[in-house]
Amino acid sequence: MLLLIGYGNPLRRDDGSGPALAGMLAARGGRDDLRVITVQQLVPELAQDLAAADITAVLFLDASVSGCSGENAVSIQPLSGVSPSPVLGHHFSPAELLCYAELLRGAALPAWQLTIPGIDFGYGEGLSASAEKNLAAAFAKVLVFLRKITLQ
Amino acid sequence: MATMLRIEPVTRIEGHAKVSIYLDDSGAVSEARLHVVEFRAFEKFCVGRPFYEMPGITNRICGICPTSHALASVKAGDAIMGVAIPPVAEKLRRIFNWAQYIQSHALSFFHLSAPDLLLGFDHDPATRNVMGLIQKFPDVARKGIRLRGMGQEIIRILADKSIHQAWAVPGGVRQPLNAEKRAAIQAMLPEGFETIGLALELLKKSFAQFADELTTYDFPSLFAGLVTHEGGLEHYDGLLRFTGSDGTLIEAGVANERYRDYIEEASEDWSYLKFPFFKPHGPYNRSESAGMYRVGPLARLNVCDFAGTPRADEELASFRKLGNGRTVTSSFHYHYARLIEILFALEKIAETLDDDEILDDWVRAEAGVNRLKGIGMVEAPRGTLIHDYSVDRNGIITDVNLIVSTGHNNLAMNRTITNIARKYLQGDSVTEGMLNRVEHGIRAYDPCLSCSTHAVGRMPLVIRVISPDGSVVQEFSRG
Amino acid sequence: MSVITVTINGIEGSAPAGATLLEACRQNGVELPTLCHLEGLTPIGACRLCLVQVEGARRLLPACVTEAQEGMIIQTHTEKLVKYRKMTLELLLSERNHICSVCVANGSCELRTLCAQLGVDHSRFEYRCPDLPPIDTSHERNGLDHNRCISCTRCIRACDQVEGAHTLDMEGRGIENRVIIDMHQTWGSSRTCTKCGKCVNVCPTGTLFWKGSTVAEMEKEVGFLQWIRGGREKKTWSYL
Ligand code: SF4
Ligand code: SF4
Ligand code: FES
Repeated sequence: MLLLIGYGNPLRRDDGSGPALAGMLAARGGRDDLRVITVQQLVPELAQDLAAADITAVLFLDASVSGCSGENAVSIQPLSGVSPSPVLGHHFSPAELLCYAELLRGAALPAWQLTIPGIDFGYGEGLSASAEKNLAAAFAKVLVFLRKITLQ
Repeated sequence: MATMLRIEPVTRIEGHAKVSIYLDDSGAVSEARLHVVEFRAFEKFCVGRPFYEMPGITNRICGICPTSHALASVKAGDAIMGVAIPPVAEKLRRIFNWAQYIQSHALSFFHLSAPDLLLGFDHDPATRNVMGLIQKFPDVARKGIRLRGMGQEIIRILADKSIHQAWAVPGGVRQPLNAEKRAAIQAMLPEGFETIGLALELLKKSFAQFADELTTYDFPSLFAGLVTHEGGLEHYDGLLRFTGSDGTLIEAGVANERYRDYIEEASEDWSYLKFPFFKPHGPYNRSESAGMYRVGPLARLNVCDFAGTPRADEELASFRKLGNGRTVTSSFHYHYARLIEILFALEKIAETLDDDEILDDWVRAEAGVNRLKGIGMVEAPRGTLIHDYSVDRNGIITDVNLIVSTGHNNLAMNRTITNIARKYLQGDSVTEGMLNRVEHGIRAYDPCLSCSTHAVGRMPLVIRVISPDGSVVQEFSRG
Repeated sequence: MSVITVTINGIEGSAPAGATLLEACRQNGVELPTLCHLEGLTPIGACRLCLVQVEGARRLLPACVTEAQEGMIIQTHTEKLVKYRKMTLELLLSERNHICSVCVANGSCELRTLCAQLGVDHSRFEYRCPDLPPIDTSHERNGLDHNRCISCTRCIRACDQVEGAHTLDMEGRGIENRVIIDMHQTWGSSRTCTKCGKCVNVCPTGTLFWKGSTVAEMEKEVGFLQWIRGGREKKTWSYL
């Protein structure tokens, strides 16, 4: 089962594109080998979801501030569990979560991260036109990605 | 002209902050400042809303301690309604708050500070992180995740939702507890006790290697926090107490409504976070730290006369030995204080659940507007949190003042990083060791400046060394 | 009672003569989204969510106010109709200030439920962020928050047609319209309001609410319309 984690704050405009994509994928349905989780921030106890017995891979869906748009703005990159030293905040990076997940399940979890570039991270709901476009591209990318990984 | 070294925001801080270190002409540190550069307009946009919507709005101030904001807000609401809420509702709110302590303190200790504390500051930076922690202390890391998860789970069981819940409402709470839910919470507690025992043991062993830090973080200040009417450790209600560095009582117990006689807020143009200070020791003077007080775990253990549960009292006794027998003045010991509070929370939850009265389903009082002002004060994990509302006769908010926990510690945090910069800055070059300590010095307070955007790539950590003529001599980037 | 035959989405069905298209659809198992319509109140065809396509008709027709005719061929979910419905919802969202996350009606709101059903999670139209009259909580029991009103007039019709008080009314036109109390006064000072609460129960959004309601706490109950109408028309009072 593939775990999809969409994260970000929908009240900070484009920061909400991760959850928006997760929502679109959940609404699409039609597959019983996906589990979709939407959160505002990554928190350590999510490691327990990552380490659930039936999960075999994870895809993180997040916004990025790179601001680009167009065909290749959206990318899906493989991830592994290395972590920078903690600084001051209270939320986690996907890489840190993967470290914990590996600890809990005893083996590394195959993981990818998809980022959706945005430009407006101010207060408010709804995505900017550019993030909106990238979101549509991301949706298409994920569908292709999903087809590929089930083939394996 | 003074030189300025700036440590730019800090990849994972909620709300943007940066650190500047000012050098004088001789190259010594004159001052370090923590800038909070984001303005949150909560106080503005709550005006015009009914007061009973406030818990739902203000608990979105923060994704980290929404529970505390909800509780301060409903207490302000209780005050506007002029009601004493049903006793069981109060107990349920307390359990809710203690569960929040468990999850919040567990996050701070196990996930954010443990790499520094258990591996040491001079541990190879490549592995002085979660990964290194897992390699060296897999059991601690695993238990830490579960302890934090447990706090969240208790909140979820009570409120059916673990963040941004609208379970606590002015007048009480929305749903009572039932036997099944109680049993589910009780079943989790033994593992919590075991985890906290292990953490306490490891932390206490680590003190020896931090002798330098213990003294660098040590400075006199006042302490503030709520205490019970008997002077015990308190997190939800009670009187506001101020004590001095040596443990003398300065104000034994201020009624919540009178906080403005004791706390005044100053502003600086370089930070959006206000600078509260103890008014009777004013006027405000940052460089002399006039009226500086600390809040939060360390302060609460300093101001109370006793904890009130057997194991926490035992731990409190050894904690006090680290100071003058009553007061511990090194901010390094915020960590230890946090663990003691988790222990206390576990004991209190167990004790409160033991009484069958907790299953009673009368949990909400009804009333209209009976007062035009309501002040709700609670101890959030990071310190005293104050919601102060004014309403019109129809219950519509006309004015809001929020004093958040992190704010009270603002003077103390600036003081701590100034001390650290003075001690660890060598010449005008920023070393890894100094950076780590500055970050850790702030993290000891577990500040929360939540704005909750986090998108990948938002603001890496940038450090600039600027010579007196304004040119950049060195620039680092990491994170 | 005579019966007519209609074809809905290619399938033949029947309906009693005089039924509206909406009734015909529902009786034949085809659900249509509605907002201004409420069983028991006079239909007005204001929200345009129930628009359907009728063969031979030059315009799209609101099903709640169009009488079904023998032999009508009706399409209810063409691409164009779905697109229009989504746009209608987005326009409604953009006209006022809907902050669902802190709304009393979160979880029970009909507008939000429809948005979720049709996959509308924000508006493509620019939010107008209008300056609205302040929230009115001067009434003993009810509150009115213009930020969330969709001008469906269900409250006004319930107050007028069922309670017979006609306390509520609408002023202004189009985007400028506002629900008003009596001759534009606060609810608390109204002498016509009987405090029955029918308006609050029929309001599909969080605009009208019980005072003291916290986030997501409102639950609305519209079943009373059925038994009041049954009692008045058929003289049989059934409180089920
Ligand atoms: S009425 Fe409330 S729940 Fe419904 S759409 Fe508006 S804000 Fe959202
Ligand atoms: S107040 Fe409610 S019922 Fe009345 S017009 Fe507005 S949305 Fe409709
Ligand atoms: S339901 Fe038919 S127009 Fe509103």
